[in-house]
Amino acid sequence: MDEFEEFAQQVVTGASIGSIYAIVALAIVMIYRSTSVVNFAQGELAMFTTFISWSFIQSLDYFWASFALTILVAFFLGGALEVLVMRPVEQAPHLNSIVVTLGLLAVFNSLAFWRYGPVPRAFPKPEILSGDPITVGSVTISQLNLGIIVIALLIMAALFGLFNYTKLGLAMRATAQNPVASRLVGINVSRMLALGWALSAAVGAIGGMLTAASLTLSVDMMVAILIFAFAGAVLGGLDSPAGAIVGGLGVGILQALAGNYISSQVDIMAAFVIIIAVLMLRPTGLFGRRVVRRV
Amino acid sequence: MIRSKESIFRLLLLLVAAVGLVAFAACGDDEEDGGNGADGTPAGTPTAGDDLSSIPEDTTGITATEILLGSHMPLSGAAAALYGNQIVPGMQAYIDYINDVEGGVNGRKIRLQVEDDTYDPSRTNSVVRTLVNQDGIFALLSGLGTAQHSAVFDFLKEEQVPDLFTATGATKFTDPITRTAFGYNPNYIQEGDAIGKYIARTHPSAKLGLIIQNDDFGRDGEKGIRQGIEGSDVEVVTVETYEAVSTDLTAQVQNVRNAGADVLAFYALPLQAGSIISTAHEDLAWDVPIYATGVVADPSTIQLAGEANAQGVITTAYLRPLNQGDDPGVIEHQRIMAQYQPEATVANLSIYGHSVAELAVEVLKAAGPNLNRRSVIEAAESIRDFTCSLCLGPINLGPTDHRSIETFSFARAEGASWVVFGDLVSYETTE
Amino acid sequence: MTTIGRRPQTIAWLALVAALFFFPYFDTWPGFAWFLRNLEETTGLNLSVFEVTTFAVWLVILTGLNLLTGYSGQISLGHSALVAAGGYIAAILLDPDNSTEVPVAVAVLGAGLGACAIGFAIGVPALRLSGPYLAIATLALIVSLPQLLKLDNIAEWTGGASGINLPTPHAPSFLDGVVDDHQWLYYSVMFPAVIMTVLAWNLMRSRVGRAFIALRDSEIGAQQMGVNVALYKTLAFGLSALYAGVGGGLFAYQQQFVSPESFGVFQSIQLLVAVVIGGLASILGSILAAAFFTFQVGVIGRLTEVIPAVDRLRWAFYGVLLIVMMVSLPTGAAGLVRRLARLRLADVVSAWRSGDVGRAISSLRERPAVVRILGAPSMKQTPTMETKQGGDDRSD
Repeated sequence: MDEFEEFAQQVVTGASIGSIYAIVALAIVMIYRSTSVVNFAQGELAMFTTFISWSFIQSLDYFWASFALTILVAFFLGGALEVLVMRPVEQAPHLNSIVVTLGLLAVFNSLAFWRYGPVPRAFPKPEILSGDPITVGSVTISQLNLGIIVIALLIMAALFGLFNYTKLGLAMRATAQNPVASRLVGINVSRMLALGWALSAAVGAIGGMLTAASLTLSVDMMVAILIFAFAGAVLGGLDSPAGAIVGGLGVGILQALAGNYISSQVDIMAAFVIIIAVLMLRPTGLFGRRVVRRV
Repeated sequence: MIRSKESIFRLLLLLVAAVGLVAFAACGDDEEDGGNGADGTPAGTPTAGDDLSSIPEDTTGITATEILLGSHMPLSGAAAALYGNQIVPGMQAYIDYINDVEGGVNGRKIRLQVEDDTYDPSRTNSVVRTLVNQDGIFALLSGLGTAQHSAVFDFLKEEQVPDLFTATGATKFTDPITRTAFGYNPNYIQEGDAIGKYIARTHPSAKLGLIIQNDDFGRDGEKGIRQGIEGSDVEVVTVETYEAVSTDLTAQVQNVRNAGADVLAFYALPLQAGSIISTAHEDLAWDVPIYATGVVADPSTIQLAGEANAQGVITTAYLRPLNQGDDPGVIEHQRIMAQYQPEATVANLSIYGHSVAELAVEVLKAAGPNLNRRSVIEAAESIRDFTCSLCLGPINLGPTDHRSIETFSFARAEGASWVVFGDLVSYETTE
Repeated sequence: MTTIGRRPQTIAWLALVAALFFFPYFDTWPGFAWFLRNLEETTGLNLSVFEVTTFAVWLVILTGLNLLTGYSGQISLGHSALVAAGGYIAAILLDPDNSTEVPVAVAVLGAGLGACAIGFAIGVPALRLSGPYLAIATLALIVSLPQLLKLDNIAEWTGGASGINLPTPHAPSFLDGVVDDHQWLYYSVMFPAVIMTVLAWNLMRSRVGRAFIALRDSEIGAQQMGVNVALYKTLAFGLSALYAGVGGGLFAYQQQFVSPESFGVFQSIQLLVAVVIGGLASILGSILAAAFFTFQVGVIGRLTEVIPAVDRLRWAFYGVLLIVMMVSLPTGAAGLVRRLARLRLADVVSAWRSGDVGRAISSLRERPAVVRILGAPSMKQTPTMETKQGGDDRSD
């Protein structure tokens, strides 16, 4: 395999795992964009809903039905969390809501552990996406991973459309920017906030299920992924869905390249370095918008 | 000059602090001299530990009717809880069985007190000190976790508490020898060596790619494999590492393939093992022979990897696998579990627990009615050719050999289970 | 108005100091040993000398975290990493395999200074970051720390995955017979811990402390008032890192072992949980936090024997506790203690007698207008400006 093909392969491998980061990053960005809160519980919530999907699959035995059902469950769970848990601290400074999301992280991790135990489980791959890997030249990518990239792009397009071309999306953006003014113009702020969390949980659930399909379903599966997803979100800009995709893919690719050309010993550190570098050079990320604070 | 009360107070405080610090600096304590432990001895060379007579004939934890044993296991927290939750019932079931059917050992019933260290070394420190100082255990049995046990190893050595059959294959606890400490699992270097030799026999001029967990476990395995292929034409083309917390090993598998390997060997836990096998055989459709550490010789690994993908993967085994349903040892284990621990899962790990308890009971029996901390060490060192009901090979211990299991076999994934094949490989060294 | 006056308070503190000083000798009195055993068996509260020494170690660490998060309002999920830095520096200095023989105090101090330097280094870029960004960056730090410690090139120093074992500390020879090894360990850890706590207490009542609080409540406001935001933000990081480092050094010394597994993201979260439950922006809170952190495992363990589900739900319990505290009790247990101390028993009893149970209970709740610990009071709650309890909730 020559130099270029090796490089291309690394890029493709990186993009495969990066697409999972991208989806989780998207969920993070969603909440940040609509509620200005960073949700540290994103990974555990996704993992928890994935376990629920596993339970559905066990009883329903049909992948796509369980998939859809889980998204619905996640949607309502997210909304419920916002109303019941985040609402009381939304007026308070950031520290409070960050700590609350950390509390949620602990709660969901523990609930999943209690209900499903420490044994890792195999998660079925959807039929459409299994099969022989696709090969271009000597560069291979599995069908599943290709499918994940496509799904990530689809979600992004859908959210992009939602935020920029619909009235609902406009209302959500307005709420994030200025809840008081939005209330004054008649936007149901509470509903927008709940919707933000609901959508984010749904996206997270998709990310979790795809992660489980390509790796293994276990209580700890999202821990490492969450960090890289954050790196991707920060890289792309915490308030930009497009940035989340680009950032997530970028982190995955950089990680693969670092693992290959430097050493696999530094892959997790690479995420840290990326985050620091971005925050030093361009804190709002590649696509984020600069927020000017008026004094 | 006028000084406010506050600043006088602060000044006093600083003065006290300064005096205190000087006092410490002057009384620089620690630096324990005369510690044993020769280093520089290559792995596998036995050295004698302290003289037996330096171990007091302590009967802490022993009464006329009871022997108190302790253990530290991860029962909650991390994925390691899997080990604690399955091994402990196996141990407990066998102990209950012996207490019930034989009235214990030499008239004393065994009580096992297992404390949860949540896989955190500082927690291990805390629970083991409590077990030794407050609960007064006679000996520690099957302490699990390399880092976790490292935190308490020196303490147990100093207090001369028998540290029996540590549940790890790390070599640091048995080389150099500590007279009161015994290992149990085959150590990863020996196992790696066996795997390396097997690879050298089966694929004489292979290009070998390794994937290892970035810790002692993986590193020892790598050392062993390199040792095993020494002198042959097998060449290690790359070594990829991963962190225990990672679950996606696509990049590592990819790198191994890119480096031109045609044989893959890995030292990973069942979670990552499944990922490695399915990524290689399914996602990349790369038909590469795979060799794995015996740690993954559990049916769940085959399940995680996908049965079709796991066929033909070779690993090592030292205990009878659960799926050999007609094996009398396994049947007896299932019976004992059903009777004494009906709610626990019967798994390869409960078999492990049963086997280590069996060895412990054998040692206690050999020590006779005059049981104390010295006699139990003597008894342990006198174990010769003991094949437990669930073991594949015999266990031999001696004053220069504190490694329990040094005989193992190979197993291949066939169908949904691991099937043992071939001859036993032995790493027993003659004294 | 406080019902517990100045004098009883001083007496209480002095009694505490005396108790701390003589504690290692308590268990020579058989009655006390029996008491401790039963306490441990029933409640799981393990008050052995070793455990209380552990408490002292975490006291230093949590005081540091409280300085950063409670007083200056900056969230760091990487505190565990600074503790690890201190721990490893001390361990490397004390490691008998490295030829130089370093006195313990020097090693611990070195650990503190080393971590402080790292803290300052983090503090500088942290200046540009607020809230979520800082949390994310520090989260990345702690998650990548194990990998860093195992890097081949420095594994020689850090012991890689095996960690570093340290020899058991022994009491100096001239104290033979007076203190044994355990007791020496206790004193050599508790003494610096107490000093550092008192120093922190003092510092937070001074200009520096006030600057921190101003910074936390409103950066812009603080700037308007002439507070050098950049300086104090960095100072907060450096100071908390100093404490983390010293705590880490004491940790290594006391545990006699460090490894990459001794620290981690869950520990970082546990530290935050502890400091929130104990009480942010309060030295008493740090003490309660350290008590919670050290003793909760034993207590929960005992509870597990009664209710098995508790074992696996332990983290859920902490999470819920965290959320509940953030929502309704932001000043934590320390705040509760302080309010209880303020309560006039007569008032409560009379309210109870007159049937006004609601008022009796609500006198225990936080007054929104007075709760300024975590910034501006919530707009949702109606401010009840009761000046009767005009005491400053924040002074301690």
